Amino acid sequence: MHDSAALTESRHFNAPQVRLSSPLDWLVAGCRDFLRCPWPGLLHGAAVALFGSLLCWQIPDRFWLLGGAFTGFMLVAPVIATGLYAISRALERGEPAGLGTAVAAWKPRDHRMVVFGLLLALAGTGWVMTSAALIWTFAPAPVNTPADFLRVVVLAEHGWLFEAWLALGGLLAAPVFASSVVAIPLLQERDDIGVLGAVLTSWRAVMANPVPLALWGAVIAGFTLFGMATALLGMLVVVPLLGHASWHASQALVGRVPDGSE
Amino acid sequence: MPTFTEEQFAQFGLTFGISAFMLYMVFILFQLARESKAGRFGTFVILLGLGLGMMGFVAKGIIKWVLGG
Repeated sequence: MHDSAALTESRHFNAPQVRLSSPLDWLVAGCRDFLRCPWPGLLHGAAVALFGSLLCWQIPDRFWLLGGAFTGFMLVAPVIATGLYAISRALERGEPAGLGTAVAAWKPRDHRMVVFGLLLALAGTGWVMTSAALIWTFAPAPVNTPADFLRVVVLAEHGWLFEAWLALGGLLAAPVFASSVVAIPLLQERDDIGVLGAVLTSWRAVMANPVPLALWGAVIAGFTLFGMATALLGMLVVVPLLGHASWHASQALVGRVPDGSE
Repeated sequence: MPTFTEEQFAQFGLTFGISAFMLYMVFILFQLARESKAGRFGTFVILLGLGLGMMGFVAKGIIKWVLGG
C-alpha cells in the first residue's frame, strides 16, 4: 500500500524524545526571548487582554459564550502566537528581531496557515458548544454571568462540576493540541509540507513523548488560567512567555531526517 | 524543644497532606494509563484530561482561599 503524500511529507522529519523536564527548559528559553525582545510580546499580550476585556464588556450576561470563548482561546492561541515564533526564530539565528519581524510573519504567503487557522477556529467553536451544554445541563442554578459561574460552579460546596468541566476540556483539547503542538512553526518554516503533513508530524511528536507533552499542555493551561484569573492583566506576560516557549518546544520536538535516510 | 500550636500543626498537616495527596493522584493517573493499556496517545489523553481536572481541584482550593471562603 502506498503512503499518502502527507505521510511521506511528515517522514522527512523525525520526532526526537525529550525529557520530562523539557517543558521547564522551553519556558526558560521563552522567558529569555521575551526579555531580549519584550515589546512585540507585550503588544501581543495587550491585544489578547484587550480582546478579552471587550468580550467581557459586550457580553457580560452570556456566560455560555464568554466561558467557552475564553477557554477556547487556548485552542486558537498557536495561530495568535505566529509573530512570536518568527521573533524567536530570528533571535536564534542572530538576526535582528522586532515588531516588524512579527508583522512580517502575518503577511499571507500561501493558504496553508489560513486553512489550519480555520480548522482550529472550528474546533474552538465545537468546544464553546460543548462547554455550554455541560454547564447548562449540570449546574444546579442558572449560570449567566462570570459571578454566577464563580458562585454556582467554582465555589459550589458539593459536586465536581468545575473539575469535570476542565477534565472534559482537556479530553477534547487533547487531539487538537496533538495536531497543533508543532504544526504552525513547521508550516511557517517549511514550504515543502502541507497542513495534513504538519498535523501528522505533530501527532508523531506526541506519540514519541506522551508524558512530557501532557505536562506541557497542563503548563499551558495553568499559565492561561492564571492570566485569566488576574483580570487578564497576567496575559501581558503569559502570552509572550508561552508563545516564545512554544517555538522552542517545536524545535526540540521535530528534527529533520538527513537526506537519503528517509 | 520547639512546641507547635494546634493551628501551626494543622497548617503543616494540611500543606504536606494535600501535597502528598496530589502526588498520589499523579501516581493513580500513571497506573490508570498503564493498566488500561491505553497506548501512547491514550496515555497522553488520560494525563491531559484528568490532569486538568486535578488542576481544577487545586485552582478551586486556591480561589476559595483567595476569596476568604
